[in-house]
Amino acid sequence: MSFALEIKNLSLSYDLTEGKSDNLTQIKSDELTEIKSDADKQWIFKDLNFQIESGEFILVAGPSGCGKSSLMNAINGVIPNLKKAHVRGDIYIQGKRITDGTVRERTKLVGSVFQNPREQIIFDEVSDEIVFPMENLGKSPRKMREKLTALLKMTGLVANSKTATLSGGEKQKLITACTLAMEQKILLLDEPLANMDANSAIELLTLLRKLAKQEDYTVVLIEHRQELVLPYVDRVFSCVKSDLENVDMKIEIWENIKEYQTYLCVIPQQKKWTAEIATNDKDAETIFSVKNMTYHIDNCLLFNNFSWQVKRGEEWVILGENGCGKTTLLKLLIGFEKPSEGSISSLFNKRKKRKKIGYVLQNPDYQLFMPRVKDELYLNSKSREFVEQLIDLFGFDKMLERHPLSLSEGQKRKLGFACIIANEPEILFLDEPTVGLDTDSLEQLLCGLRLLKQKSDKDLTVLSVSHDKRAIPYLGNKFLTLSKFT
Amino acid sequence: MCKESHAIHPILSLVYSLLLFVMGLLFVKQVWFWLYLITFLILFLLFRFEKIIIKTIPFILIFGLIMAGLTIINGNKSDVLYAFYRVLALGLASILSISIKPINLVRAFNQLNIPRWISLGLLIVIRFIQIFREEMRQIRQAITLRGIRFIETPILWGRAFFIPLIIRVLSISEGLAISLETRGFSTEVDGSSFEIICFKRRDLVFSCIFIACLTFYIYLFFRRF
Repeated sequence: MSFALEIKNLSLSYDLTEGKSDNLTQIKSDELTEIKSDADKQWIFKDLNFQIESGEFILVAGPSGCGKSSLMNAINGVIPNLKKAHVRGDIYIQGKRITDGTVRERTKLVGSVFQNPREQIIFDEVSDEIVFPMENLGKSPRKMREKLTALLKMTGLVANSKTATLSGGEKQKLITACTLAMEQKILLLDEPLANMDANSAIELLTLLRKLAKQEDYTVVLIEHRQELVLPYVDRVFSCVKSDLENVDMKIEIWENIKEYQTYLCVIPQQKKWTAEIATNDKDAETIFSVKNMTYHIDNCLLFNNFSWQVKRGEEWVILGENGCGKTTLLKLLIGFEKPSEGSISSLFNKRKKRKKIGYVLQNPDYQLFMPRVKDELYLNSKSREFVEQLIDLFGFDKMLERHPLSLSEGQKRKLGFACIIANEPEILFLDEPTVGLDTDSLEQLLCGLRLLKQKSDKDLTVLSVSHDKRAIPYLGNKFLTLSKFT
Repeated sequence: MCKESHAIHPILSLVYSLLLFVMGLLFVKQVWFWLYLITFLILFLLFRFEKIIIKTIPFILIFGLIMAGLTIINGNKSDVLYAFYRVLALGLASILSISIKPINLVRAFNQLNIPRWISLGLLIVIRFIQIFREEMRQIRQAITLRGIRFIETPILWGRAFFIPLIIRVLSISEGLAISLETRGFSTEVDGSSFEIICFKRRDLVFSCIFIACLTFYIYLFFRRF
């Protein structure tokens, strides 16, 4: 019997250097070179073996930077065809060996949804983006129209919307729709729910489950928000630290989801942090005052006669479905966008006072530019002691001399957050700070926030945008729920 | 099925845009250059290009003034004027090219059996300019958010601008390459078209007036020889 996806002795290393020169390297035997490389190289994973049957829905879970995305990229051929790495072993799709196949050859069999949807969007209109892969596969216009209508209905996107004005979650939906349009029977999805609101995430998971059970699709999903995904999956591939010295991770396969849920409940980190409910002073000064604000973008109304006040020391979490204007509201408050009507007054309008605002962006790449992690942390920092506390908390001590942009996505996100709070702002804006973070990293981030609160003597005002149910109770005690105008 | 649209056929737009630019450069020294500009502006207004014209005017005026300003250093009064006129000719030509929807240009090229690597290459270049502009805006905002000011620390500001810009450009290039590959794009397969970009009556009327006007100015230009 052939499996939908079978991995045999798959190993991956980003270490492309040759072994040290000694007598052995004089002998040009492939086998000997292999043995020598094995000893020298640091492997992300080594000799992985697993099989996935048609119709199975698999969750791949594990800490940030452990190699989950690398595994996905090794299957769809991005590694080693587009990203260089040393790959060894065999990959079979529906019984066919595809280990040496190009990305294009593998794409006929495997559909991939990657992280960072923003970087993958080619066209400026939603409908063009969705039909593009179907055009490449030579589908008929009638079939494309039917599929486009179905996918637009599923995602709630509008055909002629400009892709540049979509929110992070909407972009993620768009990229997922593009992959579903290609109708490959094996789907690899790398954190497709990261920026999605709970309802959209559940809709997508229900659809994936339906595809797996009714249409025999094989779904492999990488995700940190496990509590959301577990009810839908058949098995969990848990990436854990390997016992071998030169190997980073191994996979533990959990056949029984309930057992895995029990295991998750007993691991200690889940109980380390506790919510601090701040008591707000009713007489505190108003920092932001929004009066009868109306704002629209490309004829799409986001706010209509909206009024709101934020007082010093308050901790707000802004909630709402994708594309309802959460990030836009933060940008309006900070002055990067101007309301169409109405007014926003702020205590921090003046340039000098703006330095008291800290803003953690969704994408940390924009905020990291110093040559070393150390320089990044100390830039504009107010207290050396506090930075040292943060280094200790986030475990940056081993990477202080590294270039910030050489870190993994999760590490960059933590560094971006640490750099901003090291400046000890009076107001902190957090835009989806926990996207792509595992539980340990999430805990570090929340501890960092608590440290800042202690330092500011509870005078810190926090405005967060998040879809992450793990983090929402700890990010604030006041909630503003936005909704879309229909 | 042919899509209903107010735009002119993308290939016609591209060709007419090039013609307007080249002829504009030839005509800058003519006394009737202003008439040339106004004629085609009226034509564009008749064919509903007013939004693009309004968007283009500020950029062209600023760019024109810069070019004229640079010419003052070494040139005389008429050279300055001609430098400004050349930018106006470019602006006039750009109205048509800006109106082209990139995907329609690709589809039109595909219908003419032009290799997909050319049409898609063109599309990526056009898209990349838009992405680049958006990235610069985001980076400038990020710099402001970290409290870095050009006036106070120009070197740090430069670092904070160019390093993320380079990284983002590399990252987006890689993302787009992966995106194309994993969405089945191939230069070897023809693929199909979701919409047929066909020539409409509107294109015919526009072409007739355009060619008539252009022929008239070419005649004026050559009459003096």
